[in-house]
Amino acid sequence: MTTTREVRLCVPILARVEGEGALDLVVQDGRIETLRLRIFEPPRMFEKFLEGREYSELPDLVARICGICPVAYQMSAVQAIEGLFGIDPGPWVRAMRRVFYCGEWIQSHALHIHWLAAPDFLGYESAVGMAQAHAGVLQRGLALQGLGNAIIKLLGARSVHPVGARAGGFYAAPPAEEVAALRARLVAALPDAEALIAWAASLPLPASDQDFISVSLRHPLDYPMNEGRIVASHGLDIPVSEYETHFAERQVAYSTALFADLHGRPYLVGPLARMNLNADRLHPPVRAALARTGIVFPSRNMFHSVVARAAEIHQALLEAIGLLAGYRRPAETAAAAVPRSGTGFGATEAPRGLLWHRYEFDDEGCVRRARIVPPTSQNQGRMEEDLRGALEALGLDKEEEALRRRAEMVIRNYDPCISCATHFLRVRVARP
Amino acid sequence: MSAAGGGVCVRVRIIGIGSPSAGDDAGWRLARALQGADLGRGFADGTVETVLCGHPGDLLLGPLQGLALAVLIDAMCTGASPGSLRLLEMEDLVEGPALTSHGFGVARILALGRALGALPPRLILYGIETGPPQAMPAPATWVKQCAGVLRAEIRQALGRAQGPSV
Repeated sequence: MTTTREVRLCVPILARVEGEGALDLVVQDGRIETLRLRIFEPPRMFEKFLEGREYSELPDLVARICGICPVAYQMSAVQAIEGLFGIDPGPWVRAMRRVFYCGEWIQSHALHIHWLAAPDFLGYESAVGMAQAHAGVLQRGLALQGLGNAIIKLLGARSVHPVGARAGGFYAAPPAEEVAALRARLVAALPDAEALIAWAASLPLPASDQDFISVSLRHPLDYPMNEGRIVASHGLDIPVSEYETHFAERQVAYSTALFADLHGRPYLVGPLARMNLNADRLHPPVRAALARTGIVFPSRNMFHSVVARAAEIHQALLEAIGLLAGYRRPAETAAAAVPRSGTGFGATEAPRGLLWHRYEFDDEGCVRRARIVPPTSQNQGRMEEDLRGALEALGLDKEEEALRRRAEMVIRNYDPCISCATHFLRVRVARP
Repeated sequence: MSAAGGGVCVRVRIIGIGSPSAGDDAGWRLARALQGADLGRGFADGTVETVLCGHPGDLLLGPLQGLALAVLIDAMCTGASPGSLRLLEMEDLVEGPALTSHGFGVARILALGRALGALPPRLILYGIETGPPQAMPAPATWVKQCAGVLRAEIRQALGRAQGPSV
């Protein structure tokens, strides 16, 4: 006698992710029939808003796309502008931009590890539930996140939607004494960052072995952040300007975000992809800390993303400490810009992965067209692919609750940033 | 503990929460108006600070550290008439993941802060009912309603450590 079992799982709103998305899953007779990661947040048309705007407005405008990774948007935009206008911002700006970006990685990764991902791995509904048993871990995460925010504020005047960056450099340079004070705090945090790697590696991460393509920037010397060529684990190595030749975005009916493919296949961007392709560029103390965990990169376990994030916090701390050593205020904080018409390209490594920009400018330096490809869009196809693999590995005969939990864990593991949404307090008012 | 200029520690922070680019600006408007009302008069410069905080809500925990008193002001949605100002208790807040950034709304972050023992000893929360811009009163109306309460709270919070210098 044959038995049939149908599982219809709908997660109407994904919690602990940025923005609004849902998951539909239908399992029929032990087989996944439907699996849709639905992003239903209305499109924001941001690229359209940029048309007609002057190049000098771009850094502040694109910072508004995301409250978690505004620096990434700013850095991809200024790279595109400077590449087209032929601006060389010089070594001080290059170093400070890297520091700026380190701040963003530290705050974003600390947020994700502690408040978004850890509850999944430890079996809590949220970080609030974790607080009693893991107070020290969360306090450490809070302190690291605060340091990341402090770095962003140092160079950007504020930690959310910073306003310090401009084409050619920065509007102002922080005073040396402020830099020295913050650098001392970064040095003091190194043991915490190192301990975080060990802690992340000790989490009960599910076993997973998946074949996927990793894509990231790669720089001749540095761990990739705000410059480099686009490389992929199956051999691609191209300049940023050739992205559209190899990568294509496509629309699906059930999602307002585009899916991206590399040569027709889904691919991964983000910390694990970066680590898989650039572990040889890590600072020696980070490599040593990772070696002690026994986890080897490249890794085919997607859940090692959390370890990669922890390692990138350590890496970013070391990087910022090194770049801020011997800091001096420069005579000029930005190189002059002379607009010219044409197309500029920019790609940097946002905390969640490759963030690619293309702008067409007119003679006055006004945007004629813009295209922005964020990491979450690039990861959507990979997330669906991962969900299939992870749920089949778990066993489709499991209870719906177990399937739902694993599916949410898989999605959150990518730290998807669907968009920013306005918020209100929801208040329960007892009326007599 | 955060330090203002000259090494003075901030002991009271008035935090306006909002996302003005998305039309959620009531919290910021009142916070700015309270800054103009100079609630810290009589105490050492830098002791009382006003900050404007956007989402994500997780950034709230940092500014709450090391304070004697925190005053949070945010928009609320209760069905009251637009622009109503209401003094809330933490228990009044309902967690709702749908409309918050990364699932970290004010309610969740305060619950987390409480669980971690990271909240100041006194925390006041004001909600302003959202509504169309034309239905919102001038911030001075809100200041009139809450300034007296806040001055008394500040005096009480700081009184133990330092009395007014004038």
